[in-house]
Amino acid sequence: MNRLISANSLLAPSFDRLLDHAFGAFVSSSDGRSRETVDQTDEAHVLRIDLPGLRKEDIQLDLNDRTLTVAGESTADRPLATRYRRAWSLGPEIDTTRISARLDLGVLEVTLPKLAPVAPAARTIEIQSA
Amino acid sequence: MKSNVCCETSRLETVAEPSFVDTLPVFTTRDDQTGTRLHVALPGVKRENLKLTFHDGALHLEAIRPEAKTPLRYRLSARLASRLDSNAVSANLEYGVLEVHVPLKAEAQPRSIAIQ
Repeated sequence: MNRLISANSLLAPSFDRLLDHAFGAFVSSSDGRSRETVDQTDEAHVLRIDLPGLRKEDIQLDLNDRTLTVAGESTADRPLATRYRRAWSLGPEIDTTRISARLDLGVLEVTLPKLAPVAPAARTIEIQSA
Repeated sequence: MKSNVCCETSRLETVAEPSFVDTLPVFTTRDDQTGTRLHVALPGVKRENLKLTFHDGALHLEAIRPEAKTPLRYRLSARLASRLDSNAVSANLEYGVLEVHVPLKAEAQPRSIAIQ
């Protein structure tokens, strides 16, 4: 039997996309992985991790035996849902008692202060006789 | 004295603009009965460094992420279907993600048909 009207075309929402795919010039394309950078000042190493869409409560930051672990996960219903997990072994120059972190504009910034260099105490060297 | 003026001008003209690495941001689109939603990951981008424009039938996004070593410029363009209302675009930037909503034109919205 020939159908005069296709039910699908009437009832189903339009499946063609409302937004065409992206175009325009770009040099590099993000591959979905989080971008990480480490900068160094005289006082600290600063680790920055892109975690767009994640909130403070979605991120767990743990330090265990000089291993720093960052884990983040958003719920699947959120757009751009992501899961991130990475660990760093901290060098002996890091003062693990003063590590701090903040989340701003979807970027997690972890500050890893360096231990203050211990200046040797000034002393006089005694000259021994032969 | 004249040569000093000359050199000064020359120095001003050669001030280099900051160079950016153009990057296509991660994005997703989701269509529903009211229109379409575009989500774009823009970590590190402040509202004042984000520009969203509509021209030539397409939505254009440009966002600057100034950083000391490698300043980034996120760029994305998306052509809109003719049944979308480009005059009613709304956008919200939160947690490093931009959400853009483009509703369907009134005549393209789903509606109930009264039964006589």
